[in-house]
Amino acid sequence: MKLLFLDHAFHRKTGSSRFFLDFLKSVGDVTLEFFDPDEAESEIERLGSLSFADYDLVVIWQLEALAYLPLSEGVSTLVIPMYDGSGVQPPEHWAALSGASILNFSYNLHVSTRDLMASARLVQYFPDPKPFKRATGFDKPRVVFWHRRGDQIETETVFRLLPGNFEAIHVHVAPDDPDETVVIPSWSTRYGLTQSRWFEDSNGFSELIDSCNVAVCPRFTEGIGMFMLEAMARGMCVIASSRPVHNEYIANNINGMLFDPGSYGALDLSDAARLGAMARKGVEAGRLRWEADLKALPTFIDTCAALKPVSSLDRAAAVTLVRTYFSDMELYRQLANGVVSADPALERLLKAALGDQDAARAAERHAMGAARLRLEAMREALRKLPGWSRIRAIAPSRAKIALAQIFMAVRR
Amino acid sequence: MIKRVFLIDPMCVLDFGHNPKSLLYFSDYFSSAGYEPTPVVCKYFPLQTGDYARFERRFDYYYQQFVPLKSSPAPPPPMVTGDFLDPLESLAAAEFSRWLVEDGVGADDRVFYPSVDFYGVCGLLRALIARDGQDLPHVHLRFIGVMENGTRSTKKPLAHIGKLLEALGRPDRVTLSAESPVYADNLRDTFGREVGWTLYPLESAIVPLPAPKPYRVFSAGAGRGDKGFFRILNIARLYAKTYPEDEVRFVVQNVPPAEERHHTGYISQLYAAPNIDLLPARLSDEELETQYAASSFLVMPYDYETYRFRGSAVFMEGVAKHRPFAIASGTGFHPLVTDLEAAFNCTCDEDFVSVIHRFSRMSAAEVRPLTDRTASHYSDLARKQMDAVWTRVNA
Repeated sequence: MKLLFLDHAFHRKTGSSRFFLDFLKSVGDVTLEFFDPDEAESEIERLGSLSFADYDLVVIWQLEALAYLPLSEGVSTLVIPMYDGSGVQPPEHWAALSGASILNFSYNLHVSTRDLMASARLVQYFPDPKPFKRATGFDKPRVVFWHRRGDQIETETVFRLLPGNFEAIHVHVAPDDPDETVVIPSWSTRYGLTQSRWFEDSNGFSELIDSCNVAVCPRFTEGIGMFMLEAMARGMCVIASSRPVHNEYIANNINGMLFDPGSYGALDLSDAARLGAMARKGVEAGRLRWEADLKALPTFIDTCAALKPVSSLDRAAAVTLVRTYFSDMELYRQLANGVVSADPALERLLKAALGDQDAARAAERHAMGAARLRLEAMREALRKLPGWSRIRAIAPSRAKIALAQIFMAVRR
Repeated sequence: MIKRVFLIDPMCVLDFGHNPKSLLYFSDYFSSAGYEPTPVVCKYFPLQTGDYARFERRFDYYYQQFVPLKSSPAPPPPMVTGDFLDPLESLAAAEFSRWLVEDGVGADDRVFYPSVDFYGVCGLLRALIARDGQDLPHVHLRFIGVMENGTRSTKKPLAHIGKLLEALGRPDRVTLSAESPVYADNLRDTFGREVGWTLYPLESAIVPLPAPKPYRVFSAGAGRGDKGFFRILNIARLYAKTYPEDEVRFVVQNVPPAEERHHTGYISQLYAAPNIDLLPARLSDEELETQYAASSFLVMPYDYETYRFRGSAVFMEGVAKHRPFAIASGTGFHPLVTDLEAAFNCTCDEDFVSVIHRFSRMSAAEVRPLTDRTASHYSDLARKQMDAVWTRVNA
């Protein structure tokens, strides 16, 4: 089987999708392509030159909107979205992509997508716990926190969650955005806070975590949450936000602790040893399930490859959708609404998946989306008129305001 | 001459749940007592195999507004004249009248209604009233506290049924029972006449206890709030906290897929908990049997408001299979549970945890005498009750 694997360029560095790539290599002949959303315009053009029809299946990791491109050519496509990137997408997004199959690593994402896609499967990844050193010495809690998103969880959050009830605390400062300015409050050194920035190799980071027994997860949501899983595999007491996928791996006060980022108080670490032991036990059992899933996945991949999509989108419309997805999410969602409302089969699919009340609200969104699609088509046609950009530049602003008002009226 | 018994259940329409199975349980009882049982069910009942093949499919489906079927039945025809409550009652009366004629049901026949539903029983009573006391079969109505309230046309469905019972008269020909002793008392107050109580007439059918580790605790029944679905996580959490060394796993059925998206926060936690196994909402009879066989203990943290009069099919089946169990206190079976050695009324989640822990420490040899005596007590009681009821029916 010939497979094209499209991955986020970020994973070139982190390698967090490598385990799945390795699996795909056991199934067929894999061509790997990275896509950098920061260079979306040129990247879309580059992808446009690929011949998707040469592959039996295009597998898209995380950036599921890219699926419009192979789908518009009638090529079988499997998307593997992550909750942290796609968990809040509305149902129309998935309905517009319904020609693709979906493999979910998140239960929550699975529930909201399974009825809308060509085929769907839920799996839950667990690392092999054997190589991980077991956490010990819980009578003296040693906390590790990885600062990744200062706008979500920062060192002060950790102090609020664990106000002084630990022996030591280490903050690993390696934000997702390298330009983020991270300020560790100076008073925190009074609690013996230590910090690190970056390690030459992964062993350094691993040894650091091995020296602790409590881990605080760095973000509100995760796609798989490797940091969390590796801490659980060590039998550490893991503290995480109560949002997916943390809450799909950690049952509060059974194998870790969850906090609601909108409202939380101090946590009690007196049960940390028990929670850590249960976390390790859960990873051991989960690993066996994941290995069983891996054995069953080739059949699912075959099924996905056999499902040939029939798409109402042409290549130009697909490119427009992908471009807007990376440049203007609000516009993208309206266009996706328009795609659904233009296809009665998609409308029916969505209605069946939603309740009556949700379907009524969706109908309103679709009407707005259809209007937006018409407007975009009109703008596209005008753009092709010779001298249009010049006319547009000299048109009085009052006329532009009037046009904007007409647009708002259409939207309403 | 072998006497006929018609077992009536217009609510027997789904291929799961207690309705089809209870008809088989009671059919077995009547067969063993020398009668010829014929279950008469809704015409949309889908199962055609095995014992279900002999079910007579006759009645329309009266409860689309409560438990909608995917292939929805035609709306009821306009109401015929009369003092009917609504078109559905009128339809049921017409259907029961036709059935009585077409199956030639007469004074020598018995009609046993194991789980009374509102429109069905009203239809039957009206059809009998129309006979003006002539050629009445012996009728026994068994109330379980579920669909006898299944109408939106009156706020007092039981009072409406009581009115029809009074209009029919002939308490010698129409006898009543309830599934639980508490409900029997309640109905006696409501109808102002004698109401017995009848359990499923299940004989002891021992299913050997599985290997002790992990110790599996099963909460049977599709994930429903009134069956304690939303209490299982806390019970499992308390257990893990109180007895961290124990290898106890809680097994629970999920909510139906259509409802899942409304409860993803809670279900995510069940999915995450390493001491909880989440099963699909719907299990076939075979899958359910497999779960019973693999479980060492049954847990029923039922909601008081829903179950304060009601019994439980899971309870009765669990006892017959020789499983110890804990049930929330205050259900319709509360007085019965106090008489059983391997069953416990629990007032709070901590009580559930404590009982489960106690049994998880016991060997199969220690549990066996308790469950044997419980199953034996139950089957004796159930048989005695049915015999007493049937003596009155035949009197």
